[in-house]
Amino acid sequence: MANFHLEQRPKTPPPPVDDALSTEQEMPTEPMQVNLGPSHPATHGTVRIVAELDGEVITKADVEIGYLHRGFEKSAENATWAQVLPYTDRLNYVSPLCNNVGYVMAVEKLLGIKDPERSQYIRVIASEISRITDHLTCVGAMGLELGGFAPFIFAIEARELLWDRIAELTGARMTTAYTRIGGVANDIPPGWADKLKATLVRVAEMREECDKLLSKNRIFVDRVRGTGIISAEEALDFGFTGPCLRACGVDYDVRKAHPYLVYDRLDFVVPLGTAGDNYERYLVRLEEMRQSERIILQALDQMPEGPVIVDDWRIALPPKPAVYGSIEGAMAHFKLVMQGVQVPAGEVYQYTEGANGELGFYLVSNGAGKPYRCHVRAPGFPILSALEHLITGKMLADLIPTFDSINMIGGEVEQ
Amino acid sequence: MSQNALDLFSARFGSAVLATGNSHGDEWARVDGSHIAEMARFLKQDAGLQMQLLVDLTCVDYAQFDPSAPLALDAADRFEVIYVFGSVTLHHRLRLKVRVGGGAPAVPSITDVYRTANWWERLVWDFYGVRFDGHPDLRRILTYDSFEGHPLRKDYPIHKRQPLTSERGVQDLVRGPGPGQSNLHAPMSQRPGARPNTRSDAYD
Repeated sequence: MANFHLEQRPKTPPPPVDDALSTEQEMPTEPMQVNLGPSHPATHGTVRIVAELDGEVITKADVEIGYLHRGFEKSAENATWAQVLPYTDRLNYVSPLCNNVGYVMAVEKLLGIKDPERSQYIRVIASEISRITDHLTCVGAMGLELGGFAPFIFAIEARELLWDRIAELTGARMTTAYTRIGGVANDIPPGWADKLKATLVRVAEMREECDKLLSKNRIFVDRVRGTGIISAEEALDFGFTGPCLRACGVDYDVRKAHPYLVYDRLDFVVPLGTAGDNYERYLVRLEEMRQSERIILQALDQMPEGPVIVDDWRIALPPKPAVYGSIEGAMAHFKLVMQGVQVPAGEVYQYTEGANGELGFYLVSNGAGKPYRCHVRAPGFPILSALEHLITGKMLADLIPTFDSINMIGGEVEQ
Repeated sequence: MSQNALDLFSARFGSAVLATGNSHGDEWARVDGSHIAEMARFLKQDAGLQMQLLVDLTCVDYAQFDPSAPLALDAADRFEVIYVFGSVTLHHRLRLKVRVGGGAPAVPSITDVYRTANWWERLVWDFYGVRFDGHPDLRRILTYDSFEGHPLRKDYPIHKRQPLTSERGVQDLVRGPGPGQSNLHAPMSQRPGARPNTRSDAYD
C-alpha cells in the first residue's frame, strides 16, 4: 500500500450522492407489520394498532379495541337506576363527574323532574373541574409522549390539586358517584369555595407553565403542527364532537347549542381552531381550561342558597332523621334501596358536553326499577373510529401525537 | 323543538314513515328500514335539515318488554335500531327507529352516507347480531372473533362465561409446544388437579 500512486486508483467515478436514494428504491423490500399496543409505553389507553409500513409511511392501519370492555351496558340493565351511577364513574375515568351529571340528567328527563337550582350550579362546577382535569391529562400526556417530562409533572400536580378538592366534595378522587337522581349527594363543604378559588390560582400558574413549555417549543411544535389534519367536513362525517371538532373550526358546543343546567347564565367563549391538526386540538384544550376556570368562578358567585336535592321521597332518599324517626321515612328508604326509583316507561336521549365531546345516554324504561336499556354515546368512540383515516398515508412518528391529541379514553370507548 | 325537521322529513317520505311522535322533547319517527340509506342521505344533504352529524346509532332488544307497555313490539320485530341525527348549524335533532326481527335480522348499512356509521354498525352487529347489508367490514369490535353469541341480547345470561381467547397452537420456545402435546396452555379448569367448576353456567 505504500506504493499506491494516483494512477492506480480506479478510473470509474464514485456514484453521485443522489443515487443513494435510487439504489435504495431498487432494493427488494416488503411491507412490514408493526404492532402497537394494546399496551405500549408511548400511548395511553389500551388500543392495538396493527400498522403496515412501507419504510416509515403507514400504508394500512387496523385499529382494534375492546381490551378494556367491561360490559357497562349489560351491567346497567341488571342494576337499579341508582346503582348504575358508580358504573358511570368508570366510563371516562379522568372526568367522572361529567359522566355522573350526564347520566342523572338522562334519568331526570325520563322522570320529568328538574333538580334544585343550587344543585344545578354545583353540577356545573363539578363538571368544569372535571373538564379541566381531563384536559390537563391530555395536554400533560401529550407533552410526555413527545419527549417532555416537565409539562407532564406540572399537569399532573395541578390535576392532583383539583382531585383533592373533588375528594373533599365527593369523598373520592376519581370514583366519585356524586350526583343523585334529583340533585347531588351533599352540599359543598364549609369553606370549600375559597379553597377551590385558591386552588384554581395555583392550577392556572401550572397550566401557563405547561403552555410556556410546549406551545412555542420547537421540538413539540414540529411534531404536532400540520400532522393529523382532518377537515371540518370529514370530521363531521366521522361524528366528531367536542375539542376535536372545534379545532376544525366548527362552532358546536352542546353547552351553547343546547344549553342545559345553568350554562345559559354563564359567560364563556368557545375556542375554535382553523387547521384541525394536532397542534390546534392541543391549543383548543388549553383555552378551554381557561374558560372552564371562568365558568367555575362565575358559578361560585352566582350560586343561590337552598336545597341540593329534590324533596320527593319516591326519587331521593329521605334525610336520615326521617329514616330513623318516622315510619314513612323508613318505608321510603327501604323501597328506594330495595326496588329502586320507579321510572315511567319511555325512551329518552339526553346529551351533555363531556370533556371530549358530546356524551349521550339513550335510556329505555319499562316502568320498573331497572333500566331496560342503557346505552352510552361515548364521545371518544366516533373520534377513535377516524384514527385509521387520520394515520393512513402518514409517517409512523405522526401516529403518536395524533393518538394523543384525540384523547382516547379506553373506559368510555370500550364501555 | 325540532318539529319543523320532523315535518320536512315526513313530507318527503310519506308512506315509508310508519309513525312519528315526541318523547320527552325528542322528535322521533319510526320508519321502514329498507329506505334508511336514502333517508340518511336526505337528512344530510337537504338544505332545510343539514344534519351533518350521525350522533348515535344503537339497538334495543325488546324480547322481554312487558307486552302491555306502549313501546312493546310485535314478536316478529324483536329489535329496534335507533339512529340519532343532528345538525351543528341549525341545532335540531331527529331520531329514526327501525324495527327488525326474524332469524337473521338485517338493515341496510348507511356507511356510504356517514362514515362514522362504520364502527357503530359493527358495535350493533357485535352486541345484538343485527346485520348491516352493504357494510364494508362487518367484524366484531369489542368482543373477539371466536366469541359465541351476542351479549346484549336479552336471552344472553349475564353470568355466562366464555374462554377469553382461542388457544393457538404456537410453538413456545420457553414453555414448549402448544396444546395437543402439552396441557400447559389449556384453560386452568382443564389442567390436572383443577377443582371441578360448580357453576352451572360457566363455559356452557
